Amino acid sequence: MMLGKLEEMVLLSLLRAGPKSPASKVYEILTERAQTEKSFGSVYTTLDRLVKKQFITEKQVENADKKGRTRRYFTISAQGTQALSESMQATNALAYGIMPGGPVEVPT
Amino acid sequence: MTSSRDDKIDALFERTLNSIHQSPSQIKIDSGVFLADRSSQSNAVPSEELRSLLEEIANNVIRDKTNVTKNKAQQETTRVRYSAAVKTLFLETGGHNTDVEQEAEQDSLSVKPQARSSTPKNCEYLLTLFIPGSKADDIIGNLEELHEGWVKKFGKQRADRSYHVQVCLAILSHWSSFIRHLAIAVGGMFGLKYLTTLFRG
Repeated sequence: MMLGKLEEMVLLSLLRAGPKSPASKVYEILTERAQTEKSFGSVYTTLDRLVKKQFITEKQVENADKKGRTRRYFTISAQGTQALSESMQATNALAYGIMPGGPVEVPT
Repeated sequence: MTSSRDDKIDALFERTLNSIHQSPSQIKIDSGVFLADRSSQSNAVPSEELRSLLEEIANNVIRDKTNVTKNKAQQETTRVRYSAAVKTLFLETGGHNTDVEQEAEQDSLSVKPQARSSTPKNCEYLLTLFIPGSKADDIIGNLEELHEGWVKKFGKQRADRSYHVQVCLAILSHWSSFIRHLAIAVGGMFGLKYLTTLFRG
């Protein structure tokens, strides 16, 4: 299954954030590292969509903070890692040789 | 004699100005150098003149410095930083408890409530109203965490504004797929009606 650009970025951010990360951490990494102005809502909806596609697993924890709120923690699944890898390979294969500063090697 | 003292005051004024344009820690270093200079010379700058000089710096230079940015929280922070530095310089150069010091203390007191990051409460109601179940709780928790970071980065006012915008966008994002489907359905209905009349006519 192909990934959209935002889905790809969110999955990469989640990978960087580590397992059991809250959406805020994913959003922070995405905005700081990718230097993009995405809204938190769109990132959250994307995370929701990725959960439905089973690329991400979520764990709901009740009374997770001081105010007794239910929080969701996300972890990338094996299926998600594979989809991300395929998507990145496809992008790299297309970018190879035509983009300045693009990938140096053709992905196998 | 008078002109020599004036020269010295001018030199001090210039040096303090320069150090203010550098950093508060540099002011402390400069004040140490000034103290050493002062102890080695007999005709030291009188405390009263120094006080008026520092007040002038506090009133003019700090105001110019803070007016660079429009963000009120950043203005406050800059003002407090530089007021505190001027206060330190004044005390190190042999001054007593003055208006400059009192102003700096008042500034640091007035800044304390701004450091607290309390999120706007009305947004929580909005989120709970428009987004069902535990998802609203999670979004509020996440946005509170982000708000803390925004307060540190941009100041309270801008953080609150960002919080409001993000809450509205989160609600819109949540309902966007429903709105899109509804629009397609309504558009399809009208389109079908139009096509029917087109073929009949």
